[in-house]
Amino acid sequence: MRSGRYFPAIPGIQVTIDDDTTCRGRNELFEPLGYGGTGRELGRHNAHVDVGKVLDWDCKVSPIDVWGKCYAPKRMIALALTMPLAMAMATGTASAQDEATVSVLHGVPGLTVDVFANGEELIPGFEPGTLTDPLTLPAGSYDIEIFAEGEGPDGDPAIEAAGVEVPGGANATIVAHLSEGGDPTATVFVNDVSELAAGDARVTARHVAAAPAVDVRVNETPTFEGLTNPNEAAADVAAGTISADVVLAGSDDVVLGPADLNLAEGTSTIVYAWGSAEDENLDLAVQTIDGLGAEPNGVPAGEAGLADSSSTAGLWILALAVALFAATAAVLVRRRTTTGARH
Amino acid sequence: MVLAGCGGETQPGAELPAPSPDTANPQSPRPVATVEPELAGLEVPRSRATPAPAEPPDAPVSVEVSAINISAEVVPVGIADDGQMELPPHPDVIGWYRFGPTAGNGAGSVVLAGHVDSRKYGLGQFVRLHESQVGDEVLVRTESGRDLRYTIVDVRSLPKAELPLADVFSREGRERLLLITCGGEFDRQQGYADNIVVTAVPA
Repeated sequence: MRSGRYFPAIPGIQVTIDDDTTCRGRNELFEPLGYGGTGRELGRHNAHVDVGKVLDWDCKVSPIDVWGKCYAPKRMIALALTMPLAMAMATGTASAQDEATVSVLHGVPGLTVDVFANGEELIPGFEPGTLTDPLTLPAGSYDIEIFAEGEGPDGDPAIEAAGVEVPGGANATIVAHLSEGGDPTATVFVNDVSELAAGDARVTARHVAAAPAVDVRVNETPTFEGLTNPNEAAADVAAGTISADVVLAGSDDVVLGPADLNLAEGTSTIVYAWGSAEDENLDLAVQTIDGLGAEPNGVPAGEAGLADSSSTAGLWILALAVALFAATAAVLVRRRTTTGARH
Repeated sequence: MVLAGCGGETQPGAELPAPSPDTANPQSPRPVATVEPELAGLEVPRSRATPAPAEPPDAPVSVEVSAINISAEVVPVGIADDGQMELPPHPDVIGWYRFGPTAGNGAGSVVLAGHVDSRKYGLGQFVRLHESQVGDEVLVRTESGRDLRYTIVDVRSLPKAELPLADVFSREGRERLLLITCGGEFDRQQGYADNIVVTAVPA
């Protein structure tokens, strides 16, 4: 049975399956949410499936189905990403719907790798803790294989993610990282690039470390609590600099940080906790996506009516009074204020 | 266009001077690599995913338009609770929209706005803004002591509803300075009908 963990408000459905996992049966997870229909609600859930479990929903969906695929490949990992088209369109990116914006983050310590996509080398010499610039990729299905440097494409991949669906219009980050238990894996996160209110910034925490559940604290206040690998939590906050640290869930045991983060207005800042607690190499990685800001909705630059152009004479008389007779002017202003005030 | 008064002479739907296409703007989004479907022969740019240090901008601290006797302190402002640009309560103090570009940054729209008047303090410095003329010089001093000179290229009055906010607060294109206050007819319910908008470019 699926482990049944659901995380509202996380766009994209993500399924991680190891080894000889088989996928069969009807699609009970998707169907109540509009599978085969508009799928509007489809992007709001995230299911994590334990190793070796038999899924009770259908992973073998049609290749023409945009919702996703699930494979159980020969070696380590099958990974299926699905994101409904409606959600993709709501992300508001400028990309055409047949393209997607994809970044790749390497979060497996101590292993420089070559990343292959569909059998072609995509990112040679990719070092831990590095992030690619956003790539514009044709939407579609990608088989991602990650080899120790120089061992591809004919050797055994360290990480393999087959049938990664890159939906049109999406902004996503593929993260190679360790599972909670310390095994190399890969997760696709769909980045929320919806417009921010003027003055706001978006901050997202993603747990991709070989570590138990954590709380992310902002200015020493637990903000994202009980975050587990490979999940995320996000909030829109007032722009500014915050001090963030990571503690073991429910404790004051700091495992990472504190780090000062500049949450720039109109920018999404995504913070990854990666590495391994056991190997004492936990670290933070930061990805930013800018250009999400909105402008103020006006400039309310006057309130008393003293400069009313429809009574120009009054304006200049008053201005003169202000200049020459400060005390008198104060009285006048008060009188004008009483009569000319708006709500 | 130079307006003699605070309003009533607006061209409906008038637009501010269009920002020039930008060729060397460090604030522009980084170009994204395009991967051909075959994914062949591609060098993907990448960088260390380390937290970016917060670099405080060199904020403007004063603005002068000597031709119309404006000399005012400038303070950083953000967003008011109603989603409009926040403004200093005292009309002799001008607000710089701190989420937009700063003066001397080289790109985008530097917005300085002030109340034309206040119930508490009376008329403000920007009451004379509409008297400015194309060609007048604007001097902006920044926190680090830089003096930046701009030349006014446009003076106009726009009904508030027609203020092209996306242009006014644009972070792209070549640098320009916008001085904004209120003007036009005053209504007790709605406040002033217009925004006075003065556009200047680096001299």
